[in-house]
Amino acid sequence: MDNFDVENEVQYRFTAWLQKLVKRARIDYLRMKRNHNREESLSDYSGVNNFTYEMKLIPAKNLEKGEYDFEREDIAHAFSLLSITKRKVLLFLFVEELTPKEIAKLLSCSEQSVSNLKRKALNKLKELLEENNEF
Amino acid sequence: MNFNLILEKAINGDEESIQKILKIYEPMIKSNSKWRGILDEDLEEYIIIRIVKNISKFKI
Repeated sequence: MDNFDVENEVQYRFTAWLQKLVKRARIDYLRMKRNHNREESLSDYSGVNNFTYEMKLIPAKNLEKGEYDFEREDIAHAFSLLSITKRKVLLFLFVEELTPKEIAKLLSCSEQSVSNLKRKALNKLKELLEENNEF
Repeated sequence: MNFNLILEKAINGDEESIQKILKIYEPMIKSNSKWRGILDEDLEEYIIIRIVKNISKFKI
């Protein structure tokens, strides 16, 4: 019974801690989205170029299954944190080398959306790789 | 399912355990990832990354 109480207490504390963290993250994100309008050159960070190079080496089938064997762990980790849609766009662009028009058709969206998704995906990768290098 | 054990492993960086924790708290994450009633994938991703980066700071 004591063990159950201890476990319950930890879960209770963790849930409260997580709720605070999630709410703070949400506020930060929405603030950034509202105020922030930065245009940075993606090629400023060589990590992104390494990523696009590595992506071309991976068989498309493996990426679809979620099996990707990047040489660099930081790239593999960053890629795994992207949303499924962003991963798909990068897969279609850099592995299958489809055009934005073809990708738009596959994803049932506009070419502009494909362009936006690509930019967001690479921006996110850049952010993750830069953060990873801070530690 | 021993929550404490999973959490401890997640805190120590075990990816599988981190995924389990994210799965347990998926409803909370999803509900906080909505903007004007619609799920914002970028926001969801941002929250998940924040959790993954900070989970090691939780003290059992």
